[in-house]
Amino acid sequence: MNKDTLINRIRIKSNFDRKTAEWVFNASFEEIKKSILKKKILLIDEIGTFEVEHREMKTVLDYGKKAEILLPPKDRLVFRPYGEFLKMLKD
Amino acid sequence: MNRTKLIKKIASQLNLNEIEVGNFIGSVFGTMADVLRKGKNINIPEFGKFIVREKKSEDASYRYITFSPSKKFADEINKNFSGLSPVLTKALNINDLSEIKIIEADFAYDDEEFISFVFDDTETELQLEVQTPEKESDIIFDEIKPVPEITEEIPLNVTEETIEDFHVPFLIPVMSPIVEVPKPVITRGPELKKVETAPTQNVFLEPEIAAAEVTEPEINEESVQTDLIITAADTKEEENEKDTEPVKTEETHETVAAPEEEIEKDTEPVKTEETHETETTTEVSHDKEKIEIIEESIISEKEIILKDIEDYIKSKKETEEKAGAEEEKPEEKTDYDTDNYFKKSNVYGVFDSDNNFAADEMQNSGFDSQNVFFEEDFPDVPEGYEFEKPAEEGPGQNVFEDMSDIFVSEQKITGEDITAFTDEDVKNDYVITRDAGLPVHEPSDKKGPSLKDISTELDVTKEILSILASREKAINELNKYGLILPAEPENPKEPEEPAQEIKETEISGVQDSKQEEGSSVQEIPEITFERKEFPEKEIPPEKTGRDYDELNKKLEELNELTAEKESLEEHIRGNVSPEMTVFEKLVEENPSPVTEKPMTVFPDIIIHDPGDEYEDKIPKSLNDALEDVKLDGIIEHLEHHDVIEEKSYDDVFKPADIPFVPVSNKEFEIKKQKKILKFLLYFFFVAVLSILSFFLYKSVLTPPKRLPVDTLGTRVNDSVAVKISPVDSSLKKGSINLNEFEVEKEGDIIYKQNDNGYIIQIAKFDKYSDALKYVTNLDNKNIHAEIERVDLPLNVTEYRIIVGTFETLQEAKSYFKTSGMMLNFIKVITPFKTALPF
Repeated sequence: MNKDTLINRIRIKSNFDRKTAEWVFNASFEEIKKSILKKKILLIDEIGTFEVEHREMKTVLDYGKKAEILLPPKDRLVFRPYGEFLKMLKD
Repeated sequence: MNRTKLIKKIASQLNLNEIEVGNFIGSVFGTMADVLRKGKNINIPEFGKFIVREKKSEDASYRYITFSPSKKFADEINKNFSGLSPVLTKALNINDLSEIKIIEADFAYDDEEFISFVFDDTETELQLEVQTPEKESDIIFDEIKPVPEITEEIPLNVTEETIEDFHVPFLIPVMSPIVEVPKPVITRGPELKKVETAPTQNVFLEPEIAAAEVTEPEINEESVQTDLIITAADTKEEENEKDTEPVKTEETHETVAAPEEEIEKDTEPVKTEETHETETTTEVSHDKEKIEIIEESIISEKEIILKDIEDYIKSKKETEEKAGAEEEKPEEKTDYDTDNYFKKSNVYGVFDSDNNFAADEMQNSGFDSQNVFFEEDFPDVPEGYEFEKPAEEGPGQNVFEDMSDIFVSEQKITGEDITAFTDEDVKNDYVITRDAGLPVHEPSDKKGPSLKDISTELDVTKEILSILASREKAINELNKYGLILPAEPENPKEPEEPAQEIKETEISGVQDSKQEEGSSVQEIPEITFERKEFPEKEIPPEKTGRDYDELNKKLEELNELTAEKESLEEHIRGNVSPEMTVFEKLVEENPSPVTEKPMTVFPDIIIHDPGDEYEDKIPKSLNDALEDVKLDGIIEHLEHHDVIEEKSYDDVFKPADIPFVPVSNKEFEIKKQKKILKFLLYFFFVAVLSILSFFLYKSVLTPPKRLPVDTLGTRVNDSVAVKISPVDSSLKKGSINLNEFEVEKEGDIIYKQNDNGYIIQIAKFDKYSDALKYVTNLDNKNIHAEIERVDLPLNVTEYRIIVGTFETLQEAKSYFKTSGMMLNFIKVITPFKTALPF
């Protein structure tokens, strides 16, 4: 499901027209992005938690290249769905 | 940011109703959850993708969600390390692949909620599935796992049970944030009693007291002579005291007032006493006398020890009872108010009129920051600030006050008089407390244990230990003279007799006899000494007997208690910090696997075959692959397998013979730049070549321009509508030749028939000039053509190009085929109605 279909589906439940719904949708995800970048963590009730994690520098082996590789440190976004949500998925 | 903030912000941004926006956003997340629950993926451009994956295990299969942020968003998150890329550090020579066993893959996640991420450049889901790089499929990564971190958190809420082992108060920095601090459980020790408990004061008179007692009764009213003598002796006393002080503490009180010469001659004043005793009572052998005296001293010491032991055991029992009572009622156990530990009211310091803590001023005045501040620490109080005296109820029950107790007690204890420190003294030494209007803990009736108590407790142990040491010394002396404990109880009151006799005796004749001996040398005024009465000690009758067994039992108990005290002392000295003990406990409970197996041991490496599921997880780049390695755990951890042969890291991964130069990021960038330059050069070369070829074609293939030949003179009369067609001059101007009709049509080429035969209409133009140019071009190519003007309705005029007159249609067609190649070419490059100037 892409963004358009999602917006269409949500728009049925709300009073917004197509354009306004898209505005609100985009603005909300922009704010979410800003919040993640600023606060490094975001909790969404229905879904789960977005958190920026830091991975430290480490060494790995590449058997294909027969070489030892030093990986740089990295900040990455981790999403952890809520336990209840995962349970529902399993069901 | 929570939902309400998000809603308000968006509503204000877009000028919408908050309720509607709230409903909308709620439905967004709700719908997303529903969609994912149904197993459908969600792709939100510029944010990321939620992908529902299915995991199959032996028993069952279930689904989980992965989220992969968009490339742009991921880059924004990783902006701090965006310039970094993996670096090859070492080339490996893995010849013996038998050392590496390959077994089946297991992609099971240890943590179901742990989500992997695949960074993708594309936004569409289709492309995500298609991308399967060939080269990277061969790559299997082995991760050298770092030392696992201790993930278990040390509980902040330390209970009383856990903290009981420490018995150590925490030193808390001033103005720290309010946190829950474990309460130090401190057992109250025996209270230090006044001079009575000091052992030396029971046996011997204290020097100062002895001096005072000697000097007062020396004022004798009987004779003026003695007064004079006494005054003379008084003058010498001060000098004598200095020399005799160390002797006095060790010896008896009788030597206190002895003159210097006497002490020099009779170094052992005990002997002098005994000489008087022998004169008055019975003659005892020299050794026996010694033993008796030592026995006396030992008995007196025992009494003191027993008393101390009794006191100590009493106090210990009291503390135990108190502790038991406190355990029963944990709420009333302590008077510490942990909530108010860090309040301003409990901080001793300088405060201004607005009740602000003057921390800056203190630092500016060069004061080294401490937890507790005294008036001495602030020689110059800044303007606008003042010290505040403590409340009337005295020191409170918080940590700071206890700490200040310690500081004060340290000062006091260093002096000779230990008992000089009382609560009132402490109160006077306190400088600053204040009530900042905050809730202050009210001290309860039951005073909690304080650090002061512990310090006094330690002092008691020191005292007891010193007594024990002196006792041991005395016993050794007894053994030296062959007296073995327990001895026979012969004449238990015997040791009291010499003391009583000593009380009665007066050292009067001693000086006379000595004077007689030294009269020849110098004259010394007569001095009469009055012996001071020894303070009587009431010895309990049951303890006068040599009940050594009981004593020894009690001493054993005492030793046990002292051992406990020593352990307590170590804690209080701070040798063992509470954090360290907690950490050690945690380490003992949860030993880390790394410590058990050193990193140098490198057993068989086991690589998991990715299998079918690996298709979903094929990385798109090196970074992604390496990232997946960590998440999926391709290589099973080594510690689960038995070590057959210990191999070091270098044994398995031997460095290659060829020296490997690690490629830096700069070289990668230079290579990229070179590639771009090559591409630009190639493009430039192609462009130049195409332009050159165009001009070459134009110059070589196309003939030079020739001026059109105006055979009919129409150029001059261009504006005049004339019949210019030479085909049929009989045609009238602007008329249509009705006899002419279309026979056949091949595209734009029309074969027509008229009265003279067949003609071919090659093209037609709106403008005469264009038609004329076309005809001249044909003339240059030896094709003779004519222009036919046709006036059509609605004032439309056409100029048709007509070739020949042929007798038959076939002849016309054959002509067009032979010379039509050129005509076709001209037709192609000169579209209809837009003739080019050839």
